[in-house]
Amino acid sequence: MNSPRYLNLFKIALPLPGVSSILHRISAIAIFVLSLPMMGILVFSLSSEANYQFINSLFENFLFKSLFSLFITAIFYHFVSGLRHLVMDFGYWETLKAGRMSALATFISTGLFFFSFLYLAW
Amino acid sequence: MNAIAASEIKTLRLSIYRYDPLKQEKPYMQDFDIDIPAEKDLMVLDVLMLAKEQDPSISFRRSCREGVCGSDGLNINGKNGLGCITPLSDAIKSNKLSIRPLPGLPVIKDLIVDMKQFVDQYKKVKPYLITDKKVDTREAIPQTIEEREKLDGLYECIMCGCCSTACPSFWWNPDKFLGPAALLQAYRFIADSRDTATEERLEQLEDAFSVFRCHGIMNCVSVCPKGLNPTKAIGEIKKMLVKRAL
Repeated sequence: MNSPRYLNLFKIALPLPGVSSILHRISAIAIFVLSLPMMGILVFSLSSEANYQFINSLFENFLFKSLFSLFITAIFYHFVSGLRHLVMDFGYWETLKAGRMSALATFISTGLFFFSFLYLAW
Repeated sequence: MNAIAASEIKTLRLSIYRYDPLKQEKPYMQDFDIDIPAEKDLMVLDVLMLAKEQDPSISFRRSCREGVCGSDGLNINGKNGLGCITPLSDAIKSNKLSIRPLPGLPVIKDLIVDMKQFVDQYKKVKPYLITDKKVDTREAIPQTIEEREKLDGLYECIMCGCCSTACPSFWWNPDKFLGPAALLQAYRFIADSRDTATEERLEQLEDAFSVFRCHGIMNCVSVCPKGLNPTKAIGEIKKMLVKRAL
């Protein structure tokens, strides 16, 4: 059947729990993509003192620091959002109001974490 | 009938999704300027009817015009809902109204979608009472008040399709994931004390897709025009399936 299907994700409104769910997946992709380079950096930094100093100096670089902050924040968001889903699996927070509140809580806690991390890292 | 003064009229910019299978063209949005009484809060369906007066070729489904038949499920300014019970005051942003067909289903013409996939999933859950007791159909099967109360919030579904077509899991797997509407009905019969086929019903839902593709996004709850909660019903089925597996 060649009939078109209307599915423009930029025009379809998502409620807050929907946004939270999509960000959960996006954070998973960010973790997946960045995990390997981050582990490589960790292994490299532990191989000698000179390498450690080199990696340490990378944290002076704005782009590297931003990428690292993004990675850590993605892990935090994915963890908190995963906990939210676990709670829902146990039969709690299944009303729209509770779903909105819990989604909002994941955003706020991630925001607080991100800015606290920036404050400590910068 | 008294003529309405010009000051009491406001003009609404209505944008409608158009598609005609007989013309070799892609779907497009067509704009209409609709004059509506400033003091009246019309329903979205009323505005569509006014647009149809301007262009009779606009196609959409409607029937009861009071949120009972579930015919006029539409995507209204990005959110699914029934045109007949969605007031303009709830739907419009800055005097603009965009109406598109329910997302994810094949479009037959303009705002009319082919509901076959949706209905096929509904059929799969066997949405009727199954009982192994010998029942005299002339007599009611008794239920206690408590047993009957368990069906509240489940039986009221009008099958408009707003929930399933708002669900990303249904968009990506419309043939495997049953969707919120069908699953709400599945639980409606699982929860029914008169139904004796609970085991068979759960067995049919046990695979990785039918139920477990629901990730609690809650679009279904957000758009349901009857205020029902398919996410909760799906959660109950998931719990029963997990208990059954242990």
